[in-house]
Amino acid sequence: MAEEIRLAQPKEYYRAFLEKEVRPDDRELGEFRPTVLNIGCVSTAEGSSLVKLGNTTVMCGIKAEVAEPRYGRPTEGYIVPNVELSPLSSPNFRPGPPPEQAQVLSQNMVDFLDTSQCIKLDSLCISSGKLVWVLYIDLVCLDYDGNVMDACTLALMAALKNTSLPVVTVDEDTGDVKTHLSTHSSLSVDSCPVSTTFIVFDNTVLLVDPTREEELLATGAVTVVTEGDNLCSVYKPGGSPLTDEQVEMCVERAFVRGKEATALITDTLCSIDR
Amino acid sequence: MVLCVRTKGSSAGDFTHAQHKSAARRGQRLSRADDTHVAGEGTYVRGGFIYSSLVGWLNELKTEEQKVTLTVQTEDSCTVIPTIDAVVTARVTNVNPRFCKCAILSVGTSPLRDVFRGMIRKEDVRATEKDRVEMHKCYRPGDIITARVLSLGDAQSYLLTTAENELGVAMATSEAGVNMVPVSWCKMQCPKTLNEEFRKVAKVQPEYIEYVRS
Amino acid sequence: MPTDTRRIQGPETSNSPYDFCPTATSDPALLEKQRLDGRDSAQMRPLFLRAGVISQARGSAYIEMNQTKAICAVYGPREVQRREDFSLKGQLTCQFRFATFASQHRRQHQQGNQEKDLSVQMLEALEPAVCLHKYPKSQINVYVTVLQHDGSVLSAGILCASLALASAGVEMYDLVIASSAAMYNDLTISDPTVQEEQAVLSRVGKGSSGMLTVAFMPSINQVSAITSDGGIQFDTLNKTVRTVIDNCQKLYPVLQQTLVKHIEEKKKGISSK
Repeated sequence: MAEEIRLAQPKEYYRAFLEKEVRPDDRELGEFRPTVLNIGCVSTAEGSSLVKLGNTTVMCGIKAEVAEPRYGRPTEGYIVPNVELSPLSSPNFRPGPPPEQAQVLSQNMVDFLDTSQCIKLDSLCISSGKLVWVLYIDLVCLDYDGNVMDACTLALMAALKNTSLPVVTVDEDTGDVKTHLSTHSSLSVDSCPVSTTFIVFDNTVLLVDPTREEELLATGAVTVVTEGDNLCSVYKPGGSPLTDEQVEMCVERAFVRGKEATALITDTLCSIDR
Repeated sequence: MVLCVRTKGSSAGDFTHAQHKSAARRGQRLSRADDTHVAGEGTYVRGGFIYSSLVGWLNELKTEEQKVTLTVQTEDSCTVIPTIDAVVTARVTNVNPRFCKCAILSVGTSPLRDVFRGMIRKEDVRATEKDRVEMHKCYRPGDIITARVLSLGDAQSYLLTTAENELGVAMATSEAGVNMVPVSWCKMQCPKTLNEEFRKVAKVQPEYIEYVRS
Repeated sequence: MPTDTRRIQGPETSNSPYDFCPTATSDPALLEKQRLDGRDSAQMRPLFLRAGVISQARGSAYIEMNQTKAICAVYGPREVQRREDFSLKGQLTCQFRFATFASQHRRQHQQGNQEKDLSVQMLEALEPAVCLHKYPKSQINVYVTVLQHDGSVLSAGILCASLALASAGVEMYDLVIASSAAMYNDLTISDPTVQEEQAVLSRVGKGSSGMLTVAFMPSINQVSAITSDGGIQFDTLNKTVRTVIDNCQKLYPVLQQTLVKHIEEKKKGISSK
């Protein structure tokens, strides 16, 4: 019977749970799903990671290529992040051009990297005015069960920290490019920003790390990006209005999550090095 | 060729339900297709043998005349699709004077993972006074209805009917957004505003649905 | 090339750093020597299989053959989206993709010719095995994504899809098992890696060399698809088909065990709820 109500009247079903301050999957309102991180799982990529947030799975692969720098910005490299919501991941996605949601997520990744300044574009310079690195960051969603945003940002940071590039040199006189496969250098990642997403249910209740079902019922969403003890950005694309206290609560919760996620990345990296 | 492997004693506790069950693999040869063995669901006959077409649990059902029907079942009957004469639960999505469209949510008790489109024509709404049916007095978008599959319909949707007392609106919300209570076969009342709204109300009887399904 | 406005764009042209160093991949001596990973010529790579990896899909599977990694999801039977003629027979669709980071050189987001070819080959291998008459008016979608490409991707894709279809509870006559081999003169290499594939294909036209993939249904003893590239002597091809079918027979119990494990786990999951 419960399953039938869930199907026919999901909102009422959720209300009954949330009145008791618990979610249908036994989580508290401010509780994240178990997060699993795997770094360096694809050896053909220069950097890679796999994040599981409950059922939600995102794989990130970074391919590095070389190109001429933009005119007027001789030392700046390129970072090109794209989120792919593969038809594998959910019955709602079909093969073809990326849906709007994927485009929004890709742009979110650009903003995330821009505002946090975790990678200086200057550090991607090989030879000023001649050659710079292009980092193609592709995030493939393999299982869509809500909160792909947080899974993507975590996968992105983990993969960046794992990235190692072959040494490329440019001959000053002839302009010949040469790649030395025997030596690698890792990317300098200055900071580790973490995003935390909340949804608003019935205009009042805040839920962290929503599942797909919860996202469908949401009346609004807010994403807070933190970096250590600093607040990077608060992204709230419309939806139901929030009070000051509610936003403050979100930010506080985001700081706690930020520390947990940073620790997770550091721990996983350490276990790989060993 | 290995015949079906019955589960061994150690793990039998996990598997034995009522009859004897064992894991059947896809394409596994289960038995000879002869006078005493009949191929049931989840199996197919080829070259005088019964093979499994699913990965699941093998069931041997003894029927009269000493016959044994072999069926293979999966844990969740997840590959259900609407079939003719099945009772389905659907949500009304679109109503116009000639027909209404709906999204089929479940077939019998098995919920569908993906909705299938269904359509109820004006003449299939009820059994009596078919020509005086007014669609908007029977269904509104958002109503949850039970209906029977009449035919596979056209390329787009299944054709459904509610021309039985037990079929029609099972759940509906009023204009005030509250679940309504049926008051007659053609009216429902909002407990908050006490306004009455017209619907083709189903006389929901669990036993009946159980009976129809069997 | 037209610009893709729906994705974040990089610079107009960029090159892989691996273009600027000597490559060892098409080394002609590669085939005569011992294989790089130390296998015998007839030895296959160890197989890691897992069913039920994607929560949203009806059925799913993950496969690892050392460095070849692929994931597959099956959706359906569901409604046919585009308006087409009424059909009492179900429809099967396959989409085969490489992740952009799956090979040493980056791939584009749009589906390339190789991917389209592989999609069709996979569809042809799987279609004979699915009882499509049981799913009137519906569509079954198979999506395969190769996460890392290290040779024999077509057979990995078919194995993975076959497992995913089975875990989805789609009725089939038999599991489809696929295996690949590379041939060079008298030499036959089972389950080649990407380097071996390239070495063989770079020598097409110089003697008998090519690639072969066979899809086979062991229990009803039928071949559902044979694909070969390159120029191969008829006798060699015949002999290799037999070898590859033997390899398929070896893989059959591995897939079955994975599936039995999967349904037992599922049963435990349901009873513990």
